[in-house]
Amino acid sequence: MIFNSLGFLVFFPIVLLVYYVVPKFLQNFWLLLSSYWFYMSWNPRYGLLLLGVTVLTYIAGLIIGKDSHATWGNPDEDGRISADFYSKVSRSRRNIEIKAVSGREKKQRAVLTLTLCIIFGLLCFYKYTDFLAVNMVKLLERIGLFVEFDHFDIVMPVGISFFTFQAAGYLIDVYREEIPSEKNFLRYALFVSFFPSILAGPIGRAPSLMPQYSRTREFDWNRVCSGFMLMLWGFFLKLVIADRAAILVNFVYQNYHELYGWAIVLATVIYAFEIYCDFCGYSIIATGAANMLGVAFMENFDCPYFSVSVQDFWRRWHISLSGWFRDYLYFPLGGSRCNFLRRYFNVMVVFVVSGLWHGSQWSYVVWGGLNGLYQIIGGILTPVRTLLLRIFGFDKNVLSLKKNPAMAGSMKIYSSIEPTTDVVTPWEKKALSKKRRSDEEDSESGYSDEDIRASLRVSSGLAAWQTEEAKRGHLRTGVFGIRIGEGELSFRSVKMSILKLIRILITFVLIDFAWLFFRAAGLRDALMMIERVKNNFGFSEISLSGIYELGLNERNFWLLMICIAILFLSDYVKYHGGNIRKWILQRPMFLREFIIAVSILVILVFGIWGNSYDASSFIYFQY
Amino acid sequence: MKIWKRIVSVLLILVMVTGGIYVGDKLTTRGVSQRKYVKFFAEPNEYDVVFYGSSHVLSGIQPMELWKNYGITSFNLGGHAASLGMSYWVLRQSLKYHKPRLAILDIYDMYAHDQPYMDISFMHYSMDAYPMSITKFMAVQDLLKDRSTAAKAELFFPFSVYHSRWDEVTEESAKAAFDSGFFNSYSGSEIRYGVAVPNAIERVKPGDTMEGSEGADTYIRDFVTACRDAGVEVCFMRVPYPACVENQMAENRVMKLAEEMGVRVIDLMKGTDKDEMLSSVVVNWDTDLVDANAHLNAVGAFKVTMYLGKLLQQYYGFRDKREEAAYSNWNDDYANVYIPALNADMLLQTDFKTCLMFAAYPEFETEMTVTGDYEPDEVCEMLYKLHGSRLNVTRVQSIDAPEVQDRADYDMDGEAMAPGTVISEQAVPVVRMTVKLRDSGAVVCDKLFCR
Repeated sequence: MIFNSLGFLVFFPIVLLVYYVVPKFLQNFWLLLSSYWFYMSWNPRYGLLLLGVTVLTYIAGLIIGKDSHATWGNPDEDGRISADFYSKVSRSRRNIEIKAVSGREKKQRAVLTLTLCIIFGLLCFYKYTDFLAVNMVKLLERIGLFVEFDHFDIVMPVGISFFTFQAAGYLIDVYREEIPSEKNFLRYALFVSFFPSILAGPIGRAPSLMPQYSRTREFDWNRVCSGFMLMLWGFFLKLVIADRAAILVNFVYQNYHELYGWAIVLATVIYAFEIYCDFCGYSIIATGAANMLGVAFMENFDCPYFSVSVQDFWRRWHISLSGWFRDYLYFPLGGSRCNFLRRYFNVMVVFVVSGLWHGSQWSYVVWGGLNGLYQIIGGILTPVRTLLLRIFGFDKNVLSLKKNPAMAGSMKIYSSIEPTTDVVTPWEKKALSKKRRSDEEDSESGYSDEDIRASLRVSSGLAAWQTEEAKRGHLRTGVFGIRIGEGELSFRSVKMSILKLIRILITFVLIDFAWLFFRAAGLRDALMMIERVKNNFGFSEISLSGIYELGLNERNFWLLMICIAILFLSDYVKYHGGNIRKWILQRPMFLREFIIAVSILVILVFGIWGNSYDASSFIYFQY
Repeated sequence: MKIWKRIVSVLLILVMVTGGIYVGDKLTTRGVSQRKYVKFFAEPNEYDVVFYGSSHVLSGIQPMELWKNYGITSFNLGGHAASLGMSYWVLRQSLKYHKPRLAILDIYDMYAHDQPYMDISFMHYSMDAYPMSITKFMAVQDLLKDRSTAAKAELFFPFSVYHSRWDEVTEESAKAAFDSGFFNSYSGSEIRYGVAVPNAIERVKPGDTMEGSEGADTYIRDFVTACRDAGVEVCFMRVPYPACVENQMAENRVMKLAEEMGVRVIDLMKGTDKDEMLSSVVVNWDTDLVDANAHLNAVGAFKVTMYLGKLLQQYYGFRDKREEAAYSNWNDDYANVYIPALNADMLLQTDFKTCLMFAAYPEFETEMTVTGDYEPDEVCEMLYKLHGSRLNVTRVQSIDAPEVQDRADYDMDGEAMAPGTVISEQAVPVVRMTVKLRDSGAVVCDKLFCR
């Protein structure tokens, strides 16, 4: 069962209705039952695997967290953990090594290692056995040993990459004493298997989710409406944009031998939007569904194509996965608190592993490696870039997101602006002093600004400050709730805007080039496509009529362009702190209902669904 | 108060979405099925005969010619690629609207597949017009036994398929979507245009039968039972076509089964003698087929209809209703729907042989002016004979006819050209064909065929 299926259309309303009708103490049980039903609709046997991983990690969690003094945080209604909790987390992270040497019992460490080996072993078995065998056979062929090999018939359980990561993250958090172990099996099983996120994320974090499952969740009309609107937006992204874009992209990527280079470039640009809308669409539908059930997920995408650098992109793209790799792989490797060679090595490890996580093909490894390489080259060239920009009259801090908030989106602007004294209230002073203290502690720790900022992004203190500020009117609110802060106005120089635009475009080109490897059927295809773009671009053959022969007719192509423009507008508003969904829900009756009804109709009429098209699955299901 | 506001809010959205889907459905639906059934549903009298079966019967029988020549009221419910199972369920659904005196089922291809079998894309043609009902539900469940619920859903909710046609909507199609004046002009049938060279036929003895699925036998029996239960007489029919050996053996099996059940079979494919099937008593394979192995063209359908009408009167004694006031709508339809539709179709044809074939309809008379470059082949000579005295051929040195309505390629190979094909101005006119209505003398078309 996938979100864009008839089954889900029946399943979800039933789940929702029963969920709010049954006694509160049965809510988690009902959700667990529904989640297993949802998951087992793919293949009942997978349910056993899910149960096995759940039981194993539950028991391991109990053993590892036996003597833990950690306590649960208290996430707000958006699932965000308070700044207090995360500052404790930071301390905890800094103490990892000390604990490992002195305090931590060997038994607990052994249990953690063994459990992680088992669940990652399972993941590797399902995902990489064939890949490894094929490469082994090829390697043997190189040295003259020919082995008869037929591919293994291993069907990877859907969602395994997501729920194993979620469970692993929980265990490591328990081990680090950031959270206590969960004693209630029902609650823990729900944490691992909650149906909106089990197939393709977002990869939830126990500190945010577990306390939410402990609370009883009352029916909240506004929350249900908001969740429903989110789901609509997700379906729009998936059915109207992603699946329409897929028609053109699939056509070009399957027939690139017969097409000019410009068609490959066009398809690759459109693929950037396809994969964004596909995966972001899934995440948003999942978040909307969870919201309707009273559970808040972390935001998984934050206007990624507005990123001004590849590093910035990876803080905005698939945030739950990037965050996972950051917290459970990059930091333990040493993060950036080491010499530059080791730092670059760490970056490459994270991105190559991320590439492998996305698929057992060399093209994914190249894709991950390319993204890592971008960041390394970017880091090496920073002095050169800064020098060049200073020649053009820019400040020496122009490339720093933290020191030059004009380069970042609204969240970053607000987290960096320090209000003048006349607008500071005692509450704001407290929030800011906390932030400063946290900044100081972080700078002592040896983590880079970016590392710390990434952690702070989930912190709600500043967001709350931002909200309070807006409430007091110090931040003006425009259409769609776009916040026009006084601080922001000072950054609005044309020169800065042009620089920002250039950085955004360069980042997009780099990221999009990497997507070519991600989408191509294999590494050889990707290289052949690049070759074709280089040698047979066909400038003189570029025409609109030529575009209409790439799988989408004229009307469908222009509809796709209009929808991408809508997506751009939506992200632009969000980037500047606005919220279209909230804006719609605040409209007067009739207008609000009219907008919602039109949205539904747009999805129904222009969406790629039904039997005339083979509704394509969400791309991230295969990971 | 708050709760009421919420209820109103949800209702408002539901109403707007439902209304939007209704309009969207109207705009994007193909409407072929609806147009086919408009007249069937609206007919105030009971039909004498309703035809069931596949495309063979759909293009092989002309109900309006049955009316014009015998005063028999009939409707053609044959469907494209309709399997035996599909015909059974069309019967079940149609019986809710009309109980004709006689139901005729064409026996083509009954054992071609393990029944139930039906290509889902063709089901829309025979199903979309019927509103949701238990019978429709049962039909879909039965015919798509092994298919997913999502696949079945498109039959109950055709918008799920047709919404993707939003890019085909034009101002004209939008107007037509809300105009009930668009309907099938041939009482359910579809006339086919073209003249094809037939496949060779090998005769099979009546006793030679083949093994077939029991599923098919069950449907045949169920069809008969459903008719009898509804008080409708039933008979089987074989529309002529160049049948291969396997098909003939399968049809022999059906005939044997029909004999067991006491059902009459009208075999319109019988030859003039026992061994020579090529010389059919009803059709001429050289002039009456639109494709090599399956379907009759317009004139073939006309011949079959005329022959069948005679047999129906003989076997079932249908009275001639042409003069009865209660059936005046049939005369109106003949004059105001059928004849204009024939004229419009005549105007659309561009292939020479097709025009010559179609002009042989008794409603037309034809004047042909030809030059020395015109070289009629054997088929043309045979088509001339169909016209009888309604064709007048004049030989001239050259044709100078700038006033001629249409120019078309002079083509003798029987391949029909696409309507609207533009012929070069330099092409030399070889034949001028002027087709008129026999009764009024009004010019239907004036065509110039060039080499």
